[in-house]
Amino acid sequence: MSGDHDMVKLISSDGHTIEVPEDIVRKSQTLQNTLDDLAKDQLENGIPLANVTHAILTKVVEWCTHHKDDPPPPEDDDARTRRTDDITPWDADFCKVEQTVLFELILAANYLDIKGLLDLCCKTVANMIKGKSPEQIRQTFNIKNDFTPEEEEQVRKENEWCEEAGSTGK
Amino acid sequence: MALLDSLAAPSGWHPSLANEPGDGGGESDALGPAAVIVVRSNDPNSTMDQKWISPACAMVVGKSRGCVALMAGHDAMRMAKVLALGKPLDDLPPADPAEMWLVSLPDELLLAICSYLDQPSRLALMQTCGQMQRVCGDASLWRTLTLTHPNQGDWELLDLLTQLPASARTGVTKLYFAQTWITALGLLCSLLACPNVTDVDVSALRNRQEQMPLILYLLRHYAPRLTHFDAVGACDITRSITLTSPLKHMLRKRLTGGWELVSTGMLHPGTFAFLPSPTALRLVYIKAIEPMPGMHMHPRWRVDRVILRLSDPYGRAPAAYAQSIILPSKMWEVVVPTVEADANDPTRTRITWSESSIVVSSTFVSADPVDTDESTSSPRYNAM
Repeated sequence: MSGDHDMVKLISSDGHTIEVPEDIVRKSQTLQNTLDDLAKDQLENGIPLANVTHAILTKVVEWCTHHKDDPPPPEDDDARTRRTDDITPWDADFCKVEQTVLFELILAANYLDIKGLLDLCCKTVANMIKGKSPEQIRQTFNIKNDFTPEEEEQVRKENEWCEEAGSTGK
Repeated sequence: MALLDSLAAPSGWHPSLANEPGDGGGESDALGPAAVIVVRSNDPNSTMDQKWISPACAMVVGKSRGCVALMAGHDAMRMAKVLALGKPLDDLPPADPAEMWLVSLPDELLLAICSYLDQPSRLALMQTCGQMQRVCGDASLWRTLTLTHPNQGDWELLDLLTQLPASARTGVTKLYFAQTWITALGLLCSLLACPNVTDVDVSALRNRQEQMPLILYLLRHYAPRLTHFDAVGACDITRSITLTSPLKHMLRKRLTGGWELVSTGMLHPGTFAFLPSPTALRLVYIKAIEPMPGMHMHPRWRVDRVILRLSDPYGRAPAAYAQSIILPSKMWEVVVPTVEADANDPTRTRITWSESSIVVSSTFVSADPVDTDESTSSPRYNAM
């Protein structure tokens, strides 16, 4: 780190302050906008991040530091097939965390607008879902089956077109 | 072997375990070498053999559903992680229901996750709870329905469609059939279920040649909003045209193996006659079809205007070459593309396209028209 003027103080929601090099901080679009909008003397007390705990912020900084030289991620293209098998070993290891940490990383990446990290975490969760049955997904993610009989009836109604197709095909 | 105790094996099955990343049975991915799980049945007649799972997604590939039920799921995932990491099971973080879970995420982030899911996984997630049903049924996730399974056509399609909520089905604008089979009933169901389809791609449909007449018929009657129909690669579509052998032979000889025809109303008995209304259909991509010398229009048909645009796969189609194909047919009159009106025939509009294109503007009046009404200028699509 070249000097104090290159360091930015980030204050987590639980009151911890960490100093991060400015080029790392600028991986976050949200923080980049903040840095550009505020004068240096306004940054001396640090930037409070009300939605990010110290533990999560540390993970975010770890990821940004590792990827500080990466080019900006490409814009989303709806026509492009979204792959989930292109996660690097380092990133895969980075995401070997408890589910709650993974979801908080998603929230933090979204709040801080770090597209690469958000994509990585979403891919990781998608990989955890792929290939599972609904019941297995419920078990994996602690999802409660809250379908009511009325909703099941709605599903049945929505599939009435099948009967129409059958009669048309006769 | 203690790890295996965490698996709830069905009675009659005896799982054993080996970590054999290099034997070809497993696969590698971001989490490391795949776990190889060997499951043997007590039943000597069982077809069960070696199965393997990927640590990343806990997918189980095998012949037996019993094995899938045995291996898939959270236990398999955790076990796979253990195998990949070489750590004991207890080192994995325990699940804590009080902590934050997937359903705690806002819908916009759940949508982002769902955008990375394939169709079956999206459907499975949709069936877990009301929130996931709402999120996974978002129309933005279902703009394109893709069928890619090589050995399933109708069944996969119907299974998919019956699980989609109405909101998602009405949001489908493209049906893409790739490396699969489909019957007329399957296509009919998909068109009924997805009334807003504007784009159908059968370029990789395996049985497109056999089904093409029915496909075109169904598209005409059940895809009122269709604007794009892609049959590139279905060059043998001509098989479905009723042709005499010499003409078919001639046609095949003339197929350039890469020509593309874009038609806004090309009609031909047996094939193009089934196209959807040209008022809705704007583009038809059919590879390697060209105006056929000696092609005879059905006597019941009167075609007022035919527009053809030809180009080879590289975008080159010298007008002279195109004309050499078309000119032998006296039924066709070539209009070299320009932007000016024809001074000799004010009813004919000359259109300028690129060098790689030509416009054919023709008027066909059958010798024995069924309908003598001259007031309409629209092509007729009487039943054949």
